Amino acid sequence: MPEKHVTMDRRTALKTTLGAGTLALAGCLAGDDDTDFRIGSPWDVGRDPLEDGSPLRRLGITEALVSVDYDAEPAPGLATDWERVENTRWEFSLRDDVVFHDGEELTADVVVDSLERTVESEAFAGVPITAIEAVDDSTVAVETDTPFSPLPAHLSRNDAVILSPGSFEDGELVEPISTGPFVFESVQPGTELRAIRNDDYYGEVPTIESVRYEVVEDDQTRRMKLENSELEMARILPQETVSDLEETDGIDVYTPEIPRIRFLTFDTQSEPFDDERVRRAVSYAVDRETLTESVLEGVDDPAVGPISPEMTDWADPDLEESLYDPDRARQLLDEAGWTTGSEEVRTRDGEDFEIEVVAFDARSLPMIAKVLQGQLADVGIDLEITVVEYGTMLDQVSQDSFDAYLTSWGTLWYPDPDRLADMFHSDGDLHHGYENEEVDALLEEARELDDREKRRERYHEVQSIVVEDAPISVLTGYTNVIATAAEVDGYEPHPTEITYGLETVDLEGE
Amino acid sequence: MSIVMAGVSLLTYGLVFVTPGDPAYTILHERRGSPPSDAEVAAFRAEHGLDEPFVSQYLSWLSGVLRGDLGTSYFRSESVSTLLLQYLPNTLELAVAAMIVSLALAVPVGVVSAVHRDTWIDRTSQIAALLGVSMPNFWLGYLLILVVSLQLGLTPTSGSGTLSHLVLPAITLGTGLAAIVTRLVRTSMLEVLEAEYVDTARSKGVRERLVVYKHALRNALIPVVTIVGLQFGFVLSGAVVVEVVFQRPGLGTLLVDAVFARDYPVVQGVVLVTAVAFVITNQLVDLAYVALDPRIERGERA
Repeated sequence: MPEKHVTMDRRTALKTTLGAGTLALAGCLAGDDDTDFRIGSPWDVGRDPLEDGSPLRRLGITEALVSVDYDAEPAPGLATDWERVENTRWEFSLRDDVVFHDGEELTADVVVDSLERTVESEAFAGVPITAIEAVDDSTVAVETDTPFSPLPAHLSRNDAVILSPGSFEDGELVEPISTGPFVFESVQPGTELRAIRNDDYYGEVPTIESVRYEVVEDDQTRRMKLENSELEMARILPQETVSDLEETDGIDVYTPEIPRIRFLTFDTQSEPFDDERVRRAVSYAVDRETLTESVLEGVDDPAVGPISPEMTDWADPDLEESLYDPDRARQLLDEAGWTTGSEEVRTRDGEDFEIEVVAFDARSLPMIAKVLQGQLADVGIDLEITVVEYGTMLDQVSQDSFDAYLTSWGTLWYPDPDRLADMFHSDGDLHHGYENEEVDALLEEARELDDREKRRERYHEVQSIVVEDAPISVLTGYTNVIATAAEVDGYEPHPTEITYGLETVDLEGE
Repeated sequence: MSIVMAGVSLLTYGLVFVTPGDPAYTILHERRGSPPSDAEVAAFRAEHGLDEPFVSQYLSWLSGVLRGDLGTSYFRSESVSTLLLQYLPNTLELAVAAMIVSLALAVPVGVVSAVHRDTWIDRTSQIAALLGVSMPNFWLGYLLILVVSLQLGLTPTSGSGTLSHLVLPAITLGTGLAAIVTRLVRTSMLEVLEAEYVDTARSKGVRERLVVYKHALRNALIPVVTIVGLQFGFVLSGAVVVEVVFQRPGLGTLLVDAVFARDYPVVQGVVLVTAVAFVITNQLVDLAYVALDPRIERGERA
């Protein structure tokens, strides 16, 4: 028997040596990386701005005629300015000092070719552009089918960026060659996107020499990579990490509000939410403050209207700050015929007030549904939660009638309040079945009008009507949690996230 | 083999067909950022042959596959074969490494457990195996990253490309499998150690060490090989989670993303490759039998 023990020991020893050897080897292999700036984010990368446009734009590789400033307004980009020469015709004047990364000059003809590709794509199906033409060498005209004020905002989108003809071979996009402060170097879908500094950039030349965007799907992994100095910036971290990260040495945390809301959409065509009193009652019954303080760790803010007043003056300043009023909710429900008997759940004509809320399985929505369940129970509404995957939810609510669903939407992904039409016009995209002629008319007028003040009045009016009619009940705003290594200096989060602003970022001690 | 493949593809094609969620609607919605019109949905369906009845859809896909054309992703402009070639090596690398880790752990531990049956060695290994089976992959992954990468600084936390990137995911995925295999080796070994020919060997005066490793282990490994082959599926399903935690682009992540996006050609492609992998593994298992047990080979020759 002792013999055998010796064997085991030898094996164990061998195994330990091997194990330690592998780890040591692993240690040596790590750290073969000399990229200046590494960003971890969950969104996938690709070379085509029509498919995976946002990383290319945010890194500063691609640029469009129109940019977006830090007040979330369209601002000069490759076009120095634009004019609405006729109701349905716009002229954009190009910068005269721009060359593409491949040396090609920016001319009106190049812009027309590039934009035509964009306009023909499905992404632009909702934008009524009928013609794009070069007026002279540095002026591009865009014509629309109907008067369309949000045009510049749409031309600022990540899929409307301008590409050099050299980007294509036989009509196929091979490399995104644009004009930004960084030059595309390589991409591996599902993994990473690399770019290097554009030393000939017409604007401020970045101090960072090279940048790598890594696709890191898991948020805990992003955080650990940042803590292990494998990233300089980790984006979209969970709210619950904020307080921990703030106490961590060597890490800075940013919590900018972004134009996105979480909300409950009602089916206004079927019982019980065909009655606006009932919809309003739900809106009054929700304590948004408690909601954000509990499941969202106080990082996100409560919201009442579809546009955040902190973000832009398109938001209606006259909306009530808080809607929470459970007594009013009870009163409205009583009026609508849903009364409390001996049971806790309200009834009408012998039918219990039971509703099903569908939420998709993203981040915080199922938890928010839980909180709603508790809060609505207080006013006698029995809420059942169904959590499904996003595609299934869309499928359900677009084809059948439903009670309500919980979702989140970006409100300024093109920086124009015309987005409200997607939400509240009777032809909108939310499947709530809400039809209000006044709202439709206001939205249609505002889309056509040129005068900003007149547009503003109409959009404010729309917001106050829809908060009253409540086809949706807005619950919370949205905060992006971004953390960087402490050496990162000069980072300013952009309100619509159109850019990471890397050209102004410095790495201390370099 | 071709029957298995045909069955698998028909079954997944059928399942995909009855899955809720219209691919035309979902994909157009995603591409445009807003709900598509009915006309657009109809155009998409016509373009991708989604209008046709199930059988003709399946047959046209199948004839494509036989010509080596797996179709094109609905979402990306790349062909399914390109995507598979891009993602497959990472997953294979991970699966093989995990298998190695699990066998390197499981076989010695299982044997020692059986030989020292009901001693503290046995019980410790049993408890460890229980822990290994119960520990969720992602949790073990995070723990390993925290300890090995963040505390000890030995490996990078995640990513792919070098050997050092492979160590943690392989351990994460391998230990779960090792736990199952350890128990199997132990049971099978116990059975064999009680067999008559082992007694015979002992009575001939063969040394105990030789009895265990030459006579018993070899026979005990036959059921183990079968199960390890079948566990390949476990490795692939575990790879989905491990790939996400360790930021490794692989078949698992490709498949899950494709299912959510209703990117059916990609789903079909991944399933097909997985089925091929299964069939190949089973062939390898059969070959391993022959190597382990010469009687099987003789039977074939006869």
